[in-house]
Parts: sequence; structure tokens; C-alpha cells
Amino acid sequence: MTFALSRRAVIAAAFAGALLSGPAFAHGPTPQKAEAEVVINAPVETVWKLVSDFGAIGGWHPDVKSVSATGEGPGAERVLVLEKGEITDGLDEVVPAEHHIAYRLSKENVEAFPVSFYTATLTVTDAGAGKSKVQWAARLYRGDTSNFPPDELNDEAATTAMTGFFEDGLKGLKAKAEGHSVDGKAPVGQ
Amino acid sequence: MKRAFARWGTAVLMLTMSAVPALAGAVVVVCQGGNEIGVVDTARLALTARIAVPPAPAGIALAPDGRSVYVTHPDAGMLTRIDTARGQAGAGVAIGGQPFGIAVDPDGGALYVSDWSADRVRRLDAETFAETGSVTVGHAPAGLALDPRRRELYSADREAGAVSIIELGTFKRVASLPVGEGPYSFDTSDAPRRLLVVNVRSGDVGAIDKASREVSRHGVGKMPYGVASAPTGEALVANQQSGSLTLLPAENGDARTLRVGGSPEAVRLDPQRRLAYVTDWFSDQLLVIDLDAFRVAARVAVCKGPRSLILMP
Repeated sequence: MTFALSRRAVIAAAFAGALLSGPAFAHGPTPQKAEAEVVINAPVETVWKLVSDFGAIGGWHPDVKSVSATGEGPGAERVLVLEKGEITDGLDEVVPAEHHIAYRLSKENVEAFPVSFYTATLTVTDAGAGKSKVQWAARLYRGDTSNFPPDELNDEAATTAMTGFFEDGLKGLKAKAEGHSVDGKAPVGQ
Repeated sequence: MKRAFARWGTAVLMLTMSAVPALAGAVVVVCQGGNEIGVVDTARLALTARIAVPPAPAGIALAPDGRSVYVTHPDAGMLTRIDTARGQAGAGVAIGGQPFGIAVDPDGGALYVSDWSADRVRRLDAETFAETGSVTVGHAPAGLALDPRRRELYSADREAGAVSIIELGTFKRVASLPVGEGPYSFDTSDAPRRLLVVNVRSGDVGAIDKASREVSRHGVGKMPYGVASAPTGEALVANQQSGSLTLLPAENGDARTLRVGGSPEAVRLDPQRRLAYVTDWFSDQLLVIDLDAFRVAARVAVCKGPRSLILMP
């Protein structure tokens, strides 16, 4: 939690005095990787029900203030309201047999989230004894894909933000699925 | 004594032969995350050498004489030459810009690089890397392909949704063909009549008839990044976001899909052995695909973040 706070503080401070320098493109030539996973004390189907409902992320992710979703299944979109603004995700694939979804960033906003583009997958697998494992992974591009990005829009800032989003989300998902609170706070979405 | 000498002579000859083509027959993989080039022995299916290069290598091309491999470094604005006989990289040469796609001209000692953020294709001297020409193309040029018979160069202009055709003789852009959304890379198999290009955002493959310049489109998986066609006309496509491969038929027929997971990216075929090699950026593996059975025959651990690859003759 300290980590999440300091990360936000760094990004906020950097934006306070910085203007975007150099051209930024929606996609760059060098992707980065972000991964996080968690074991949840709840069966696969319970967790899958939560994560396969694309527009319901606001019910378990503590960094998502609110969501507005349109459509269902591949092609569905969700607008995530984060602390500093909105980004939009588009759902690409749902594979129920493998408890797997794939989605992408369809409208970026590097001031809200310093990543110019990502594709992400979320997969739930059986961890035995009524538990499940959730793996969340992304391929992402820094906020400014030119060769001279400012610190708040470089590869490290992008990877840190994406990893933090996954880690915070998995904590919230675990709390929601196990029916308790995150860090002593009230259960998210309630 | 004479016999011993003859044997010794043979041994020296064999040593010399095996020392000359250090990379012969290997799959050479560009590992962007690891800042190195991985050399995979295709008989042993193992990573047998790692060649350190400057940061974030991306594109790779083999010189027609087989003696050099060139690697681009978009983030560092550099090019590296690898000596295929010794299996060693030279120092990175700063050429500026964001060099990404690369193609080598069999005539005239030139090579071509796309400059991703400058919307141009540059012509460089293959020995000195000095720029000898530059041509403006569409927004965000990524992959390049060169047809030595037609003397044409093709550039996949990603944000323009088009492929630029550049005449090599005049080094001028003579056409821009709309092909789909997010064209990224070309067929790595150098087919004579048909040029395939993967469209990352529209999730299809554009087939350009090089003579008529007509384009047909064929749906594949999500975010196709690489394609290679066999002499029989089928084409194997790597769908990065779907974690799958699509085998497009030569004629009308059904495309087949194989889920492989991860983030499959670039494709090279070995038509004689009916095998395909596919980089998986996410798992840091090289997948070996049996084309006839259409299954993963082997997974070879390579270096970090494998993206493009070539198959050495």
C-alpha cells in the first residue's frame, strides 16, 4: 500500500510541472511486460463469475472509482474512471472453457494512466482444494513512445503503473471472492 | 603414418568447415528484453549461443551473401552488424531516428530501414551505414519487404493503414495501397507474386497481388503480428493477442486455428522440413510447429522477450 501511494505521488509530482515533450504515438516499437498473480481461497467458478463480467470490475478493483460498460462478449467496452481520469478497455476474447479473457486499451489517457497501449489477459485456473489461481498479464507500451520520454511517461513508469493496477486489483478480487475486506477497509463495491 | 596424416587432414578440414558458418542452419532470434541475439540449433532444439547487442533490438535481416546479419535498435537509434562466420556482433552504430524494419538489397550494397517516428524509409550503405537516400512514407512505418525481381520495396505504414510501394531504381514512393488497419509486418517467405501483410488492429491478413496491386483480406485472430507462406500457398499467421496460430489454406477452404497461449509474434518457415518457427514474446520461447500435423512439436527456451527471427541457410 505504501508502494501504491508513493507511486501515485511520484506521477502526480511529475505531472505538476511537466508538459509532454516530443511526439507520442498510440503504439511504439518496444513493448514491456507486466504480470501479477494471486491464489484465492474460492473455487474457479466463483472467481470466473466476477472477472468474466467485463463491466463489473468496479465491484472489486479498488483503483476503479466507477465503470460504465456497453455491450456484452467480444466487442464490449468499459470506461474506467480512475483517480486522475478515464481510460477505455475493449474486450477481445472470452474463452469460458479456459476461464480466460483478453482485452485491450482502446482509448488511452496518459495523464490518468501512463501507458499508451496495452493488451492484457486474465486467466483463472484451479489451484486444488477449492482454491483458484488468477494470472493477470499485459504487454504494454510507455506513455510517450518517442526515444526521449519524460520520466513519468517512460518504460519504468508504464510498467510500474500497470503492475500496480494488477496487484491492487488482485487484492480487491481476492477480498471480494473470499468475502472479507481489503486492509481493514469496507469490502469494495459495497 | 600416411593414414594418420590423412585423418588429421580431414579433422582440420572439418574443423575449418564447422568454424566458418557459425550460424549456419540456425534459427537466429532477436531478444528485445534481454538485449541479445539467441542462436538456436535446429537439430538439437536448444539455445547454443547468445550474442550481446546494444539495447532493445527489434528487426533482423540477412544479407543475400549470407555473411552478415543486421539488427535494428529503435530505442537507441542504432544498427548492429553480426558476422555470421564468427557469430559475433560488431559495435552498435548510431544512425539516429527509430530504425525498426530492415531489408537488404541483393544488388548494390544498400540496406533499407524504416524510421518509425519520422515516417520515412532510409537507404544506407551496407558497409558504412551512411545514409544515401530517404523517402517519405505513411505514418509509423514498421515492417519492410523487398522484391529483388521487381526492384520494389514495401513498407507497412502502421498508422496510415496502408502499404507504400517504393521503386528501388529511383527510390521514390510510387503507390500507397490501403490494406487494413494497423499493417505491421510482411510475409517472411519472399513469395514472388503475392505479398501478405498482417493488419494488427483489423485482425486480418491483406494479400497484395504484386502485378495488379489488388488487395484481398482474410480474417485471422486478434492482433496478428507475423506471417509466412509455404511454397504450396498456405500461410501461417501468429496472432499475438489471441495466443493462437492461424493456418490459412492455399485455395478456398477453412482456416484452422491452434491455441498456443502466450504472445506469438514472428514466423519463419522451413518448407523442406514442413516446420515453422514462431517466437513467443511472453514465455521467452521459440515454438516449433509441425505444419502437417498442425501442432506444437517443441518449445525451446530462448532469451528474454523474443520478437523477430530468421532461419539461416
